[in-house]
Amino acid sequence: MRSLITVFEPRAFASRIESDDELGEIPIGSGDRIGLLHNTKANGDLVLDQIELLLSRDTSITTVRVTKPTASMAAPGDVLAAFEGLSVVFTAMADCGSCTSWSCHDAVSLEHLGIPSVLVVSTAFKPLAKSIVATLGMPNVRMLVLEHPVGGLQPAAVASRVEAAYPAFRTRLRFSGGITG
Amino acid sequence: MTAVGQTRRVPRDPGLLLELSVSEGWGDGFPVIPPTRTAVGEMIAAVGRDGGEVLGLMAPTLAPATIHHVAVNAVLAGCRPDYFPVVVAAAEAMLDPAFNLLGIQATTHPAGVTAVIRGPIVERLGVNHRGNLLGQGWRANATIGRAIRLIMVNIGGAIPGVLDQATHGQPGKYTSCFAENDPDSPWPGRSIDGIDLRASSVTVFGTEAPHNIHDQGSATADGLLTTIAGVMSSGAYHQHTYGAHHVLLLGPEHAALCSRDGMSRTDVAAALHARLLRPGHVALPAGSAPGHGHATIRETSPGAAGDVQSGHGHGGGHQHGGGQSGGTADRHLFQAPDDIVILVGGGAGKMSNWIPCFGHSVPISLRIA
Repeated sequence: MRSLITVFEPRAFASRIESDDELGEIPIGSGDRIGLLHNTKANGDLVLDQIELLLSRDTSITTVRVTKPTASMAAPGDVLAAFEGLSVVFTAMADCGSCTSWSCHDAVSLEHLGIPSVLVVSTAFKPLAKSIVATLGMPNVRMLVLEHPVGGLQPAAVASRVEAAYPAFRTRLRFSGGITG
Repeated sequence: MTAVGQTRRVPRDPGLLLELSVSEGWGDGFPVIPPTRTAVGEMIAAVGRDGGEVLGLMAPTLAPATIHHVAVNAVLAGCRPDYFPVVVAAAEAMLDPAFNLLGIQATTHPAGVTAVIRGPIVERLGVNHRGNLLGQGWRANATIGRAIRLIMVNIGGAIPGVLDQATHGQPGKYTSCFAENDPDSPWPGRSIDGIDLRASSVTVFGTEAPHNIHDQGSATADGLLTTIAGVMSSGAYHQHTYGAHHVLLLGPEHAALCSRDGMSRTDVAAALHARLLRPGHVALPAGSAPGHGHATIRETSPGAAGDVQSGHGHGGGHQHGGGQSGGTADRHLFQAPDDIVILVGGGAGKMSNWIPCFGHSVPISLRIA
């Protein structure tokens, strides 16, 4: 029989409880104001442009676009405050380690403020995002998942990434009034 | 969360214990010392604090960093009990929000944590500050730095490929710890963050791997600084210079040359800041954010012309030479001279070392209790 000794457990954390479920659908009405939070990542602005375009095909919207100072830190309070009262905020682009982690924080912070949020994340970093939102106690944050990579693509390819992912995600949106397309 | 004091049975055989630590993800690939009740007790006794005391919540898992769990990992790493006050201070420093541990833990960037020790404790513990201080051969350097990494993994949860998303990582993620070489420095010690010069302290930096600066020929400080600026100017392509803190570890001979020519640490940092410019023609990768700018806000209606509201933006660093925004004027690579942290360390030889940083992280110094 192998000789055993008693030691203390080195790990201080428990397994995270991740979820495939997501928060409820988001109602969007004609004339609603939509938030677009750009974290400065490459092509994140183009991703948000395309989301803005696709949403505007469904209904008449106004967008509030904010670029936070850096992708590798949380959105400051004044950035989050700019989204107060909006129907939903899309954060882009979560396609690396630190930016995904902090974008998760931003999405959860928005939800805590009562502002629905959608984390736009690439396929390669969705597992990290799922883990981080679970550690933050909100495992069901909504995610719009784009094929990785997003950085380094030509604009048309970025638009294609968003268009490919949008139809499935659109079922999470509930449009009312003013449908234009 | 794992309770303080939770025990388990593991193989006594060192090889089997190593296999277990790797397969379960709580090791680093090197052999570990079993964290027995006796060994952990001796570690905690060295700081005279309660094992259940929580230093803070460690990202990304936000698990409580207790003195107990810090001690368990210090034992695993091979620390002597008298090293433990340094490990505790370093762990506490990493928990400062300005250090941005979440970013450092999860990033694709090759970010590690480097601990720099100073004060009377350096000689007492035998922390290497002379030749090969960044290399192998000193237990204090090796195991204190290793303990910091194991704490990041086993308390913070930064398991490679899971919550640690480093694209490449770097060797300093095994261990990175050294001391300042005050005895061989031409300059007086300096007070950091108000810590008394006679006290012992540790500073944690979010760092990349070090890069050597080889200059055996310069007979003047001016010549040497030209060489150093030449090496550090590769930061023109590095997205994390502006607003970040990089370490310049001057070898004692290089420091002596600067001092002989009448330069203080502050003078060296100022001279390098002035020389380290990003040429205006150097384009950064699309989407890079070297400016650490303010938030910008604008409101638009798709299809309608014009912005409803514009915020203020700022990017790309301070311009040099009075150029216009968006023009081709050279720009400072570093926001301010203080962003170049001048340390002295190493042995004989005309070498220095640039230790680039993970951007968006402020070095944190704490007194070692």
